[in-house]
Amino acid sequence: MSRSFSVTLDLHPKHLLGFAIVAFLGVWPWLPFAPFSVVGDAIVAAEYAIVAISLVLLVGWVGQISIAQAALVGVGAYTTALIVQHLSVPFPANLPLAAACSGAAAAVLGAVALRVRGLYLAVATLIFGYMADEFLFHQTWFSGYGGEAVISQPLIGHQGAFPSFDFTDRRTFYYVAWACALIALYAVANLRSGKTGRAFFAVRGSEVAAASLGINVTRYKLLAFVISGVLTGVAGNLIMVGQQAASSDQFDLSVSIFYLSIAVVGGLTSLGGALVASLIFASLNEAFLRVHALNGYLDVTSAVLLAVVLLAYPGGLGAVPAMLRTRQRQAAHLLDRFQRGLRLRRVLRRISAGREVELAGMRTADAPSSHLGEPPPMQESASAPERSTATGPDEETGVLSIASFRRNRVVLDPDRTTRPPLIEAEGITVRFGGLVANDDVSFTVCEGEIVGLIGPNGAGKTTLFNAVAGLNQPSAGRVRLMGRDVTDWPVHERARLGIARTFQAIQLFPQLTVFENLMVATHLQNSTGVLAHIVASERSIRADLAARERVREVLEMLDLQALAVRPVRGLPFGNLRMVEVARAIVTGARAIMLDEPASGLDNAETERLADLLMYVRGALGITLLVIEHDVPFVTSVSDYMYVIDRGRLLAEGPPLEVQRNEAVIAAYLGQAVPSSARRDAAAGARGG
Amino acid sequence: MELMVLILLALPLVAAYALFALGITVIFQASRVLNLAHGGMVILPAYLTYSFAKAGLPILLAVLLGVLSGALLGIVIERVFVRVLRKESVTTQTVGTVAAFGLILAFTSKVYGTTPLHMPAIFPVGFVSVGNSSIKYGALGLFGVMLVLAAALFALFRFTAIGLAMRGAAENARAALLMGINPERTTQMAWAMGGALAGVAGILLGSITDLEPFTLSLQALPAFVAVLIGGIESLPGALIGSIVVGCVIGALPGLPYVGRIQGASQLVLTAAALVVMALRGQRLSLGDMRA
Amino acid sequence: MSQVTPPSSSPPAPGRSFPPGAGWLSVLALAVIIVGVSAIQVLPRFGPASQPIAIQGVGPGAGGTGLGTTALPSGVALAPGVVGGAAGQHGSIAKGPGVATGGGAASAQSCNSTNNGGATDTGVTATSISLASTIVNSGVGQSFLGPVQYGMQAVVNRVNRGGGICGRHLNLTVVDDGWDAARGCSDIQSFIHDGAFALPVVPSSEGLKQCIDSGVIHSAGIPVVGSDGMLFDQYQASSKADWVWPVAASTLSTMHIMAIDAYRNHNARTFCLVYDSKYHFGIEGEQAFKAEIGRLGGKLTFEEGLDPDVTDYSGPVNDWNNNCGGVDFAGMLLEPDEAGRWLSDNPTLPKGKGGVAGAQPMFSNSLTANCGDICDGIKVFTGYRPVVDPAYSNLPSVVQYENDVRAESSQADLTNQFLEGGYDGMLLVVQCLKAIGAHLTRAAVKAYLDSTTFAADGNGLTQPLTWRPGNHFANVAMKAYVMVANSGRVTGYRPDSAGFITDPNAGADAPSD
Repeated sequence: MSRSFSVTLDLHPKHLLGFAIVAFLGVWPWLPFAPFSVVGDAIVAAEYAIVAISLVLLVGWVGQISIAQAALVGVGAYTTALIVQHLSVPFPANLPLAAACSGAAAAVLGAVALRVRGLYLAVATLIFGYMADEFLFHQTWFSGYGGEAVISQPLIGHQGAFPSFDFTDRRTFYYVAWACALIALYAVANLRSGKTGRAFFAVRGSEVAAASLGINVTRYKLLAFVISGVLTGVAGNLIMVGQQAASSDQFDLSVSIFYLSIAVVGGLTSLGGALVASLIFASLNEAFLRVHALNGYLDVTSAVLLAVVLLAYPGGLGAVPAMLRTRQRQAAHLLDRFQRGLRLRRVLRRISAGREVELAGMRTADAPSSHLGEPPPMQESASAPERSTATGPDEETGVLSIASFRRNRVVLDPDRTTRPPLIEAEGITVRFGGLVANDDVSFTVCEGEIVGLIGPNGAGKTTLFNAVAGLNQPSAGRVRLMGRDVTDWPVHERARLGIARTFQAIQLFPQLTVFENLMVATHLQNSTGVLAHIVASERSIRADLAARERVREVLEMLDLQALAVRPVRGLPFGNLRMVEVARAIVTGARAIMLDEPASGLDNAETERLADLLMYVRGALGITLLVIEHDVPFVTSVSDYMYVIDRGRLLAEGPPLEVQRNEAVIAAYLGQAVPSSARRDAAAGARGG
Repeated sequence: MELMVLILLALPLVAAYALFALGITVIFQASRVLNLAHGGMVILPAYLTYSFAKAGLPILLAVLLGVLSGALLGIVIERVFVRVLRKESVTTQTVGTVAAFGLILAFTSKVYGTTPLHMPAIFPVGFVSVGNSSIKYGALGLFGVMLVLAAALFALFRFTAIGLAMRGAAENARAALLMGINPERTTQMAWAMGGALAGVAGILLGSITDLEPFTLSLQALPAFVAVLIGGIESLPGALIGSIVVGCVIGALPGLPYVGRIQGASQLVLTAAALVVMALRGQRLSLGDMRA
Repeated sequence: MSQVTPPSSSPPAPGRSFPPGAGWLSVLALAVIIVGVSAIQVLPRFGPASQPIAIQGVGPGAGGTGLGTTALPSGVALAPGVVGGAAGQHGSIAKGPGVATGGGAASAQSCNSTNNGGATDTGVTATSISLASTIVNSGVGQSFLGPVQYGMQAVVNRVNRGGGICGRHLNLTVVDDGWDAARGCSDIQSFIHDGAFALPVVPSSEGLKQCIDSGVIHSAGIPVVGSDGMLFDQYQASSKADWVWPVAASTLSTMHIMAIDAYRNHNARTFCLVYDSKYHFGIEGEQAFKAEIGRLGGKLTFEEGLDPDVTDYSGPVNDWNNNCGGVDFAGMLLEPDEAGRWLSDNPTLPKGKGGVAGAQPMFSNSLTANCGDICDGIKVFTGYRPVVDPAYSNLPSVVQYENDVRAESSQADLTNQFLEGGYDGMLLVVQCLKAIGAHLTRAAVKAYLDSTTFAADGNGLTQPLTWRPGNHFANVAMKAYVMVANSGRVTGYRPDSAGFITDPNAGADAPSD
């Protein structure tokens, strides 16, 4: 299980080219004809790249708009000056210190700004940037006289003698700056492919769903702020040490907007794109300032570039590889068909087999953290549309049919008290203003049961559900999960106890594939921390592998492998419902609450869903609470039922009893019904 | 007493920020986008009015054309940047407005230059004495216009169907369609209104000070603070926020000790914003589910 | 919500192959490197080889005069309290020892590209001298600093048309830096690396400032000749700016002179000041003004700091009116558009007793174009002989300035004092190079400039300018011009009768870091 250095050694010409490029990049500043000003631009590009990476994380992955990055860079730069002047700590020791200061500032900003939502956050960061620009960076005690801070950087060793290391020499500093940029890139890329990255995407995709999977949304947003703050601190430190001076103009609002433009042109979510965009903007600077005829057009050009990229290519530079691959794939298919026609198939297939494997591998891996060499074991799934299997999606409709699960009929002891209660609601009353949505409702779900909660539309079922899940605060009553009183607990805490849920309006994470959606659900089972992910420690990799194993198991169990690598967006509704259930199972929950799972499904799908639920309870031993208004469905699966109408508990009991309850029937049909019609209705419900 | 005088003197700033904040709020209510291009919608109409006046048109006509161009600018921004990006995330839409702002600023400073330009006066030139100092007629005019427009806006939103339609269409476009309301039309109207409001503010402000692209567009910034303090959901909130912000920025530098510190008013505003945000803290709620 | 590229961590590959996981060991390695490299720097053997910059015993930013230990040579009539000498009268100026004015004259006569000694220093060849400067061709500063390049180019072109200096043509490279400090200093460092001999004028003062303050200019030993930025950093001849010779009058001197003029020539005893509180020139000038009033025995009744980013100054104006209603004199240390906005808010201004005066930046078309009647009677000080003064319409130096610049650009605003200063600075460069002659080295430049008097005949664009080692406050005389306005427009300037006024405390009140 050697993990670290199993870099495959087949030397593709592509790799050799890569090495040559890297070698050149390492050596060029010292070549005799290297223009000195371009070396300076390269350093600036590294600094841009670090800030752009911080924006990709904060804005692209977690979705929190920040217009304060330049201010945070300024904090890093000025604190570096203070550290050097007052504490005499030299570079590079002052780098982590300055980065920590910026991180702390970002934490403060985040802690306050996250109390408000969405667009307010953008305004809050705007205000911070504005305040720093006008106030903080003109205070002599902080940013020096007139907003200008100066440090002097000693030389290590004696000039001319070896060893000596002069940080003020641009060519030497080039290495330092790019080393920092590459380390930052590596660290953030590591984050992305692990638990933390998935949590970030989950927070962006659907905060409610993320919380229901145990992700502390606020904590992760704050974490994103802190990490991006640390990165900006690094950039600020490099600016101060490299230039030995900084003035407040470098950190004003327009610069924050400029940094944002770089990240956008790179495609907000792509690290590689951010890197390339940084290089582009640094070169633009050079071109527009050096070339006399272009002077004065830099602002216009950057603005136009940003606008064009946004409007025409929203994916930015990060989308370019995918676009190229699509073209390449199309070209390859055309070529293939052409060659088939020419009967050169056999010979060419051997050549193209290597390419096919790569293509299949590449189709599923879009990211800089690409996994070279080994194709995913689920290769058949990647080419599923071409072949049809019994469990593959239907060619026409794309609907994956739910394999039939054996209907595990479990016989439970009618005495409910023999089973420990997992979910208890006591006297829940929920008021919205003057409207009483739930009035003193109580129910219990005991281990091993499938409990149904039904009621006509508007009865207050979903409100009750959300009160139990933690999205509503009941005005009276207690909620107990696994025996603990959780009435005041936030949503993510409740998930820790082993409760999962599904949503009526599917809350999957749209930018991720099915597999990734399920991977998010392994969050609670993965106890590794952020730092472990950043360094990609042994433990974190192992935890990641274990998570993948678990997800694969669940996918197999539910026969969903065919969907694994498909993005969630675009899948038919029935499949999405299945995926949500699978996600709940992956969490390892002891009890799952389902909010109107049958809504949006046709009759056949509903049948299958019922089978699935029975299977989940029977084979996996998971307790279920199902809230529905489709009576036949619920009665066919439940062991015990509660009926709610107009906010009040109307009846409870085993399904047969409840079905015959006159009050219940009246509630649904609106009037008392003669007994013969009742019998027919009951028969019809069972058969449906 | 002295404070009263200071607050009176802050009226033109209050008026300007109020017009900006109202524009930002109207746009937000109708299209759920934070318009960071507002600063751009302030300067371009002002410069166009300047050009029209320079070309010989009577000043009032020039102002009218300027306001219309502001409305047009709002529609263009909506069409080009916001609508196209609607299928992307809200983040991308906001960045889109940033791009629009950058374009307008770059274009304006390229064409008109950064030397301050002087617009012919719209209101009669002169002063009204207040205590030891004076308020320009133009500043009073700005305040008066703001009152009129704010009242008109309130009336429009409260008493007519249009306002309701705008907000409804923003909340749930599909339902609005089913009710016969064209959400695109209402959004356009909202942006046009926002643009016109910004234009009016820019023109009047420019005529009592002078036209310089960076400084003038920067004036919209405190309006965002006002919007945060007052709440972006409500027009009255925008007004209250503007009063707070205008008084702080206008009056604080006049105070004896505090006024000396560079950036003191911005610090105070930030503190106020922090307090507001702390009080407004929310836990995860139903509103956070994707529609 | 959508993204075009699904970000991926998904391919269910069994293990990471690339990039390899680093593990905690890598963190340890990184920590060792950081601590090691840092620790090494505190060891004497490896420690700082270069001392922090402090020459001639006067440390950087020492409060006080910053004059260093070298006094001005005697014979220059700069006794304290002397004011209002008639224009051009300056007493006899003895040349200090070792001035190479005549030296090299012999070689200057037959000095051409075959016998000038060839490459005598970096950037010098037998046929060329390479000069480089940053300019402001874009951004906010473009309107008032952009034209300076025409002044520089005008002089260079005239010299080259005449065959150059000692057979060497002047190669002037100019690069736009958008008035950005970081970019500007980086460009200057590139110039140094690429072998420029000297940096003339450098109108983009932000970048120059950063390079001076961070020690780049001093450690490179490259002459910066004829700068006109007015900020204190360019005058720190005892420390970081020993290679910088400014031709402009410093902001410090401007404010000293403003106070002295009001006190002595108009008997003002109570003063008020309005200044820009955000930018350097305002902050530096304010304390100089305050200190000078203290020395004179007057009283600074009130001072008002303005934020340039605010458009409406009614609050500060109210404050001003409450406090400055009866003062004798009001000083304005503002940028032109700030000044315009402040004035339009109707502050009470003293009309008699010296009234109101503004610093050199206010001597600008952008103020007069928009100002109106309120500007009538306000005077502005300048350290140059401006073209608007009818007394100079026949002065050869002024006439030549006009013609030269007009040849470069038909639209440049000749009253722009930065432009005039830049032109003058370039003249200084040329005089210096001519005087040194064939054996052109940077050291020779330094020796020459530190012992010379420029425009010594009193008929140049400035009063005679004298630099000495440790004291580069050469331009210490300014003249005031009063704006004349009627029917709502400023129509012109009237020279103030006091003529050139000299600052007896040049260099005093250096800003403390």
